[in-house]
Amino acid sequence: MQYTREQVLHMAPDDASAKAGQQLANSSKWTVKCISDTALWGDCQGSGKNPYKTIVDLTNIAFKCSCPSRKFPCKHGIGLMLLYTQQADVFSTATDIPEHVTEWLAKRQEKEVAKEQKEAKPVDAAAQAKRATARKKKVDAGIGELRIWIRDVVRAGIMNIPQQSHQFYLNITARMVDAQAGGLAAQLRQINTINFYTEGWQRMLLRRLAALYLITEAYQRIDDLPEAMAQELQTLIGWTTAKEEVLQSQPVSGTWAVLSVTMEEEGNIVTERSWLYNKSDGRFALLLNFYAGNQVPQALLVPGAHITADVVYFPGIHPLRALIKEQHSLPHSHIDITAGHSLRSMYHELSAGLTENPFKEQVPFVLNEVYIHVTEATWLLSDGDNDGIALSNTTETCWQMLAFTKGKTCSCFGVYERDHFQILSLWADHKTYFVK
Amino acid sequence: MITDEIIKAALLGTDKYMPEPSVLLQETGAKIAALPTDKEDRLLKLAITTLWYEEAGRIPLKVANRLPECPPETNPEASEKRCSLVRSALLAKEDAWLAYLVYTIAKAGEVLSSDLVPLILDKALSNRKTAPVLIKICGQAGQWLCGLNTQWQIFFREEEENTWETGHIDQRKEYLKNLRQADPAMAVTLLEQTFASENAATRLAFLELLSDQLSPADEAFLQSLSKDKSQKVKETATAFLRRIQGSALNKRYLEYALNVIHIKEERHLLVYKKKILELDAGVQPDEELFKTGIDKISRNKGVPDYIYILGQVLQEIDPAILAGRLDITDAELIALLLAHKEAKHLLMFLSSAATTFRNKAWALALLPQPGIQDISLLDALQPAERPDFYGQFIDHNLPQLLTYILDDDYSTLSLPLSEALLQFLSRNPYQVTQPIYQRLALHLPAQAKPMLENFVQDSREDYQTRYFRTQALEMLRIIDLKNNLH
Repeated sequence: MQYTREQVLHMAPDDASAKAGQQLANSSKWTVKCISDTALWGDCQGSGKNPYKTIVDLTNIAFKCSCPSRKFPCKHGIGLMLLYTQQADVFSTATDIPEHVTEWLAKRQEKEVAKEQKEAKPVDAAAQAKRATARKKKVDAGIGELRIWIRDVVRAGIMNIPQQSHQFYLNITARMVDAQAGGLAAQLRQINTINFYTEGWQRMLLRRLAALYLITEAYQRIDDLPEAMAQELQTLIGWTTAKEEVLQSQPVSGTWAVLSVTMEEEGNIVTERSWLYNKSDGRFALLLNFYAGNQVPQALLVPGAHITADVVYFPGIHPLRALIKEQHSLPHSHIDITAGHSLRSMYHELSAGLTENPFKEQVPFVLNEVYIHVTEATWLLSDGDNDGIALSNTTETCWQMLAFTKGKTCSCFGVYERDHFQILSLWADHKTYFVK
Repeated sequence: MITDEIIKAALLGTDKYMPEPSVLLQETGAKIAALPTDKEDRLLKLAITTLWYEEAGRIPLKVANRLPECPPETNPEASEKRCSLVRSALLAKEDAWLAYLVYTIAKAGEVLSSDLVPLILDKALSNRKTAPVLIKICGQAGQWLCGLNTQWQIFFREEEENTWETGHIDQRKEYLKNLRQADPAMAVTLLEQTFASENAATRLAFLELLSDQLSPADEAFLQSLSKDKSQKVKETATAFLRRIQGSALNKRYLEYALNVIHIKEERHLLVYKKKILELDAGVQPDEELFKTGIDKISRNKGVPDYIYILGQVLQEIDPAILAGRLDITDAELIALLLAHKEAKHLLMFLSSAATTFRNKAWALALLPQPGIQDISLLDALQPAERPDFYGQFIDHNLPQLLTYILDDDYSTLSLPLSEALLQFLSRNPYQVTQPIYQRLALHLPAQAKPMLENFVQDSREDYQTRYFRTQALEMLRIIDLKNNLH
């Protein structure tokens, strides 16, 4: 097993699970501790009569546990892996893999095959067209209402919105959900990220409303738009492209570095964002996974890992969202990417990108020879030309990043969004810091 | 600025205000203005073109000065594994384990990887007592970051010149404590200058700091406190005066003790002489003695008054001085006192004297005595001499005993003592808290693991057994972590 302690802890869904996992990295808690080429498994004595049976698929990292936890991976999975990183000698190398382990590994294999078969399954075109027409009708109606709502807000003025900032968009958001325009609903929900207690909220709110209006305006002319832009627009409104369909598109092969893996929980949904970087052509790929309730992720990527993979992109203009078609882990190596961007060239690229796709909000960049700067509680990323951009990372993270760099130049990966840059990983001198 | 105009219109509402198009976007603005739509549509389109136009032309900010770089570390960095364990311990709030990791890193003269330093500095802020050792392992990065963050600056702030005059109570106490250690007389001089102007609680707090390095030089100041308004201050000053060997008060005690205690030599079997100690019950103490805090009547049933008075006096006299005045050694004196028929009534006082004056001979003689429960006698012994006596304090003085056992050097306990402790704790698992169990695990030898494993396998389901089983499991985990650290 090639995972380090830090990487295992990074897999924990939250700090509580990481802490509980550490408590379970205790040889005495595990009555069975075994490893084979493909899996790691153990029996952990909990408070009940029967021990929990935990399995980790080491080929394509995945967890299985008989405990009732809804978290994934559960503390037992984390604990078992941590124990292996701490005391590999207490694990016996199994020649006979127990039935429950082989059964689960086989099932995973079967699922892979079933997925491939599903990919090949032909679609009922007529039914699909009927559904599409019905949906378009709903979306059209929804978009019409959204345009009226936005105009009403502007007519009345936004001055009093801070007093009702949490409610004023709720009805129209629900209406967009009903109209099957989930993308628009999600963008309306973004209004709650605006801090109405700080100066500048007026501009941010107007920008958000204007962006939504621009989408509706463009939608009215969708038939005249180039195909890629139309696809982009449809995605923004809420049309999804079936994964099976995406998986059948032309893959981009190469060696990919996993630059960042972050989890964000909102309501009952956990959003996992994994950013990959193709070392041969410099393309980024964003793997987005949504987990609701006790949904179990199929595979986990560890930040800092390198994989060879066939990546397929969702349709759009310079798309970022992607899926992995096939992947193989590579031995551990340090992240070392030279992208040749300065902050000024980044801004140039952003301007050019905006003319191609005015809807693009998040743009990933790798920047080299940059440094972290703080002045009067404002955190900046700066480069050798003394150009800078404000950071949107939390103050706590900024201090950790500054400490990591020791005020020296480093390379970083992050995402530009609305004149701010969010650093997701930093590297210098063969060391990497990942923002969780 | 057109953007301000657009925002103004958005704030007030289009019924009240409509902006003119931007000069820079005149052509587009004119097209929008000519649209046969409502004002709201035109404002939103104006906003889109203006805001997007601005965004497309954004340029980076200018950064005037660059931060100074962190100076290179002079000490080596702790291993990746150790740093990772520190991060996990911080995350899991395992303070006992974290303290051990910090100790090992500091002992090895290493520093943490710099990205951990902010977390450690925050930890130091939340627990000032452990701050010095935490700061030590932060190395140059710690000092550098403290210079940049006002919250952390306190860790490297140079002592201000007027701390005594303007500092808050904790700073002033720290200042006086340090001065007392460096220059005891100067500390008294400083205290004399402001003592009268302090409130009662502060006077008492400062006075208590003088207990370190008491000497006859303090006598005049302490005597001057006999007229203090605070009863507690007066009592504390008198208690110090009683303890200062050579003070007028202490001389009176010594004089009384020498009047009561007589050492005689008797010939035994016509061959050798044997010293015997006699206590003169007929010596009447000076009435003034009872105005210094000495009780005239015994508080303990069955203890004669003269023994009780002698005991109170003896606990204020340095055994070595008393022995010298009696022309015997302190070891001989304690042996004679213990051989006396009233010895059992004096034990408590003798033990107090041995502790106060750190008299090793007396402590070694007293510790094996049945009925001795004063664990502070161990203070009179060297750390290496103490473990022989730990066992006798397990049953009745465990919390205090643990303060000796769980030392700052993480000394490993002997197997018999470990077993005795674990046996006792298995019967009384709630005597100590969970963090203490974790700390204890760091002192247990690896050979104690089989015993802990037996406790883990104890299948009884009463709540005490279950609780101790959990603690035993946790101790096993920590022992494993410790053993795998190196």
